[in-house]
Amino acid sequence: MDISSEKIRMRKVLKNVRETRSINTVFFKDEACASAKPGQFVMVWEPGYDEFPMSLSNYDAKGVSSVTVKPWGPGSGELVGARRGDLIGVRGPYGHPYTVEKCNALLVGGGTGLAPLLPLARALTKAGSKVSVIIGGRSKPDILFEKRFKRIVKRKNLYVTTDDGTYGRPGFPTDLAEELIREGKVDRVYTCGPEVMMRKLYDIATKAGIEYEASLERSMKCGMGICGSCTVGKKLLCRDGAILRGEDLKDSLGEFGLLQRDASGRYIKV
Amino acid sequence: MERSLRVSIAGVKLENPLLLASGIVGVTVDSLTRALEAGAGGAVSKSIGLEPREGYRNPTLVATDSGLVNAVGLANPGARVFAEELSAIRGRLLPIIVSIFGGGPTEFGRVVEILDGNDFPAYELNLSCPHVEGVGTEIGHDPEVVASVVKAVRSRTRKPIFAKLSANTHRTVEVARAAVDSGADGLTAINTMRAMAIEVETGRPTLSNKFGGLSGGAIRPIAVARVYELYQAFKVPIIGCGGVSTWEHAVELMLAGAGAVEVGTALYQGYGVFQEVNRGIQSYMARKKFKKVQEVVGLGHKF
Repeated sequence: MDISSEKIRMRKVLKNVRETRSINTVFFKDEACASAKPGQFVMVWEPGYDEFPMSLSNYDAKGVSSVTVKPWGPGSGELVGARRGDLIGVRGPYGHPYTVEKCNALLVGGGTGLAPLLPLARALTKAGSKVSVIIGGRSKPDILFEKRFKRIVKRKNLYVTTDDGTYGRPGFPTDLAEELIREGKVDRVYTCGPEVMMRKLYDIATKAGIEYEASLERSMKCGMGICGSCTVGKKLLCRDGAILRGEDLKDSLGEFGLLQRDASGRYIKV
Repeated sequence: MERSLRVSIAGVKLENPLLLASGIVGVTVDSLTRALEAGAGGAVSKSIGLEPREGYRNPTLVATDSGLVNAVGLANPGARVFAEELSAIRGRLLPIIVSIFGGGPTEFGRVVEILDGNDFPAYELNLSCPHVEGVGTEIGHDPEVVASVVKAVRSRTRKPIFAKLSANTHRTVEVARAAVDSGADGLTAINTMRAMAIEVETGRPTLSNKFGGLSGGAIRPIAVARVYELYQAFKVPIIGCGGVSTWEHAVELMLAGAGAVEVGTALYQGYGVFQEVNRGIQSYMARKKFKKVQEVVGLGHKF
């Protein structure tokens, strides 16, 4: 492996799809992403603004790929407004993917955390798994990917929760997840979303003795195992994550769901 | 026969001559410890300054055909927070060398005062960051300033001091002399070379800071030359640094005069690099019938 394989590749935006009132999916074509695995991410460079990690929300055999983005900083703010033909830089796909094998899977996502769960649902279904999905959102207009998931999983296995009760089941996705797990029909939980939610799910899954995998987010600079800014304990999220299994998190329970390091390396709340 | 790779450099005892280079992953004690567990003989922390710094906006690293260009911007939690971090390993005597930087002798001195009570064996003074104004090459290219910085550190610690030098100047040996005469126990050569990458489709310098430092294979021959020159000029131990990713690279720097070798950019391929390089050094020593690493150091000078 040569370091030039880590070079930024400039790609044209193919289309920009409005998903919710604050979330867009931006498509581009990148051959290297054709071999991506569920849960992997790319570093997206928005020239003049920022470079940041984004889970792949789609990729196909031709490399037509997408990231699903909410404006939270200068780069993502720019990316949300990207137009067809705009140039973005792409590196990757990076990271340790979700485990894809036949199982009774429960996917729990909140907000843009649904992004990596979309290709995961496809891959798990293809592997013969029984896949259930919980889409969590603050309010009705925040529910992401309901239509897309309907095409992949059985309608009765697709659940929606809203914090304010304006749509689907009122409450947090974790409450519903706990019920489904208690019924004994789940042997593996996959999650991505707010870290507090993921920590709660970790506790539920661990108590129930079932497998657990989560996609975490940290301040990330290089994406290639060099700068050390994306640590979770001894793990580097860019190389050992962004998918961490329950056993990977065992030694980091003092920070998972509670603390993260900022760009300087100091602990701040998640 | 298993050969011992143990080295002692300015009194710092290492299980093997490989060190994690400063600036690479080591902003937390967890990451530094992981490098040691993965087979590094020692680990140098990211450079720690007086105040916390978030560093530059991304992109802070960019890969080119010739290596990596980075301008992370000395991101670090600041000396006080890092001192707390270090207190977690009190009494364990781990070979973690702390790299420090500052805007002059006063700042360097303050950083040492804050950190010195902790259990770590040595300092590396970053006198050579090529991409942060006021704390990098402005200091490290000027022998008088280097002398005042080393004196300031020397007067505040009994731990060994390594001065990390820049090759972005023709005055490397002069600067080294100022450091050694002012009390540095050893030298580290080299830091990254000032560099830039421009993305051709947008025409834009890729790094947010525009300028950065080049690391990786391209700078290794430069490091070999500097280490060779320093070995000729000084008796103090030298840590070689620059583009090491294989055992041949490490041995080459030792032949030039390095008593220990730092590994940095190669970490993008994972922590496994330490074991791999150590194994290679071991079989080289067996093949050449060397009993100690020290026997290899400087051998390139006999020709």
